[in-house]
Amino acid sequence: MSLKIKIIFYVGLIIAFLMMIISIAFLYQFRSVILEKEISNARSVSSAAAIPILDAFIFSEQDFYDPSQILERHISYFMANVNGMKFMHVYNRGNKLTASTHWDPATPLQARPPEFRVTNTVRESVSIHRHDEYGWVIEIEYPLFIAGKYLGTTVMGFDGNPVRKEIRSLFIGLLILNIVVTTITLYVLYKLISKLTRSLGQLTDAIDQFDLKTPEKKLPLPDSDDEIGHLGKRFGLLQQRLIESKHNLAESQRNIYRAEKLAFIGRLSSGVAHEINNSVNGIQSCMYAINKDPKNHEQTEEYMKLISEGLQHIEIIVKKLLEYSRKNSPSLVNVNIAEIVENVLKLCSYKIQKLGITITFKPDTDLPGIKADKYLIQEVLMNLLINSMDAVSDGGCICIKAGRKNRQSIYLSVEDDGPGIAPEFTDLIFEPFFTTKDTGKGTGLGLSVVQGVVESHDGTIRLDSQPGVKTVFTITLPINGKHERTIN
Amino acid sequence: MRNFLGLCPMSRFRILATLGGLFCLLLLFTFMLYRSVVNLSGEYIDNRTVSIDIQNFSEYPTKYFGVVSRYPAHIIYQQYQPLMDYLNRNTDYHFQLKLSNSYSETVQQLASGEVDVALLGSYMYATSKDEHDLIAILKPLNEDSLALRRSVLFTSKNSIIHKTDDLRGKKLALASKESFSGNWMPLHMLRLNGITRDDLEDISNYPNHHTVIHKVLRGEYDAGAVRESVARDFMDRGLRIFEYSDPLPTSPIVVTKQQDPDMVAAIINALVHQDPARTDKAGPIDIMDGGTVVSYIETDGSEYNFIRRVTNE
Ligand SMILES: Nc1ncnc2c1ncn2[C@@H]1O[C@H](COP(=O)(O)OP(=O)(O)OP(=O)(O)O)[C@@H](O)[C@H]1O
Ligand SMILES: [Mg+2]
Repeated sequence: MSLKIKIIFYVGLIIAFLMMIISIAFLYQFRSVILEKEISNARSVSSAAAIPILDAFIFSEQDFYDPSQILERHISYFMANVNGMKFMHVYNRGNKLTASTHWDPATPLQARPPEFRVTNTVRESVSIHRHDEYGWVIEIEYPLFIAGKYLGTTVMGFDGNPVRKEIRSLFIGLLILNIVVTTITLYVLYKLISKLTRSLGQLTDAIDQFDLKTPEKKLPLPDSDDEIGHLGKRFGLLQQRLIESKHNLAESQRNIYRAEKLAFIGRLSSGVAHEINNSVNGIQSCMYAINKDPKNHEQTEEYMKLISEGLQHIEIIVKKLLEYSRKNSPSLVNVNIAEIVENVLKLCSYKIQKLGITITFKPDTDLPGIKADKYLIQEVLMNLLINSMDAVSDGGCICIKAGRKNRQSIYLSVEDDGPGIAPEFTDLIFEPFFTTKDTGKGTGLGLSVVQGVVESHDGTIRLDSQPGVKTVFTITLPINGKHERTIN
Repeated sequence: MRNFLGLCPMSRFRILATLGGLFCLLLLFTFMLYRSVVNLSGEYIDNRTVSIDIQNFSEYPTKYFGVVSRYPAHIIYQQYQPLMDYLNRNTDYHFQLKLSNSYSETVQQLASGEVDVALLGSYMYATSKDEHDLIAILKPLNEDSLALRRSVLFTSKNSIIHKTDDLRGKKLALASKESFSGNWMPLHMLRLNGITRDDLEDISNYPNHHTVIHKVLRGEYDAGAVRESVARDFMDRGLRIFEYSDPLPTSPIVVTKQQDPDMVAAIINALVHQDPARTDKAGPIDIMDGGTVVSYIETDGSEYNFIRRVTNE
């Protein structure tokens, strides 16, 4: 749920609730005020009406005359002069009906007052109820007392419909007020929050648009003078810092790269120097021997052979160095990995047969073609295969697998069940000239060349080795040739 | 893709359902509230109302108690009904008020036996007791527990009259000629100061004490004479008393000599021997023409002879 909806929903709920509570309190307060007013009005009329009735009763007691006639006159006077009076009955002290507005036989029975009020107690009471004939009626029963002397009771009915109407219009007015106030509040709230979220949205859009590749592009940040405006400004500053640190990072990466290259060149040249030096030293000592005794043909022939071997070794080293240096410029063509594997296996078939090694190759069915340098990949595979063949003993097993790794890349792995590589060597084997093989047998350049080629293809190489069990070299290569380089 | 209120359809449905539910609840609540608000039925009884049993006195013999007043019947009842209630509670008789327009009518009613006991003015009692065999049995006591009252001569606040002697050549208003304290006694006070009717510009009688006060306060008369308790009620309305009479006996409760002695004894017993601890002793109070009657004291009527003497002067 969006922030906007949440705020509007909860605030709306709270406002509506508060308004409701206030209105209900107000409503009941006013209702009781209206009722009280009406009731006290009815009571005033009753007590005013009581005076002549009392007098009539007293005089009738004095002179023993029937008060009905004079009471009827009082009643008709009150009916004529008091607004909203619906009926009036007077009972004497024996609670017998003495005068009433409803003697008329035409009056419906239920509207007629009872002739006797069967009660031993009297009290003033006011009740409001629905009357069949008059609708809502405020009925007041007013006992006529003088000191402790009870003289009778008057029962009066006042029209309650106007009161009810008044209360109803109060209710409707409050309801409308509630609706209007809540609606207006919600509308204002909606507008305010829309403004707020608009600038928030502006900010998130700006953040989305931010790209380190084009940091100079001006972003449409909200510039309102509130927290969101400040947030926008802070984001601008953050952007500045990001751009700066990106520059710094690139700079230091360049430095590291340079230093690494220099160190690498140092290691490489010392390796080259050592290897060539060995051969040159051999050649020199042969030459020295030949010069000392040029006539010894037998010796010359033997030494010339050694010189030729030394020169050959130098040639191999130089050739591999050339391969190694060529790694930065692969020429990409569409290649089929399976085909390359078949080729390499064909090239090596003699050695394989001679060593009695089992080689399996299982390309996945969905192995796609990739863009790569055909010869370099062949070189890579050849190197890995030769390493494995060197490692496995007679009757060993080598397993080559290839397949799709994910949408962008494939994998190629060479597994053997040779002795494996000790953990302390795993970091060293990719170094140029690192070899465990006898002098003259391995140059130690194979895996460096492999790593160089794989990196020049934007691929990766990984070694999993469990000494004594198996060794797996896995390379991954992008399908579409080189990845875009993010850092130059 | 943003849609209504930027919500996915699921939460939109949830919100709409919640809102709809709330709205329905609100509607229902409003309806119930309306029903409860416009339904006015109910009893609205004021706290002040009390339930009182209708007393049934039919087992007791009814006795009539005569009182005089020119006021409307319900006002007289308001004054004297408490006394009746008190007697009804404390005797084995049922007393009922009998109104009359004048003391002489009440005297007639007493004489004819139409009323059994009556409250008479002291002048009326003094002048008619011999003729009709009347006898005063009780006289009311005022706040100071004295069965006495006084007449006063008064004027309005700003008048130049400050003593009785100043009345010479002035207009004087008096109460009814049947009133001892409002007519006979003031005339007696003038005589004591050596002032005769001829020394005054005008002297007139009005039927009751309040009229006298009104005439003086309105400036129609320079001075007036009424019972002290009545005058006191007007002290804060510009009335100034400048002369007090000697004490006079209060209006007695009177019966005829032939009256049933049991009933007389019952009345005396109820009114004189009031138990101070009883809560309903407040019964016989508030006689209209002045003062608060706290209780009654027995009398043999002899102090009223003084009135005979003064009125015969
Ligand atoms: N499959 C393998 N099993 C065990 N050891 C291996 C394997 N592959 C490489 N090595 C170890 O890594 C070392 C370095 O290999 P690398 O291919 O770089 O050089 P090399 O094979 O010794 O010489 P070169 O390949 O130049 O003839 C090897 O000497 C060997 O000790
Ligand atoms: Mg090798």
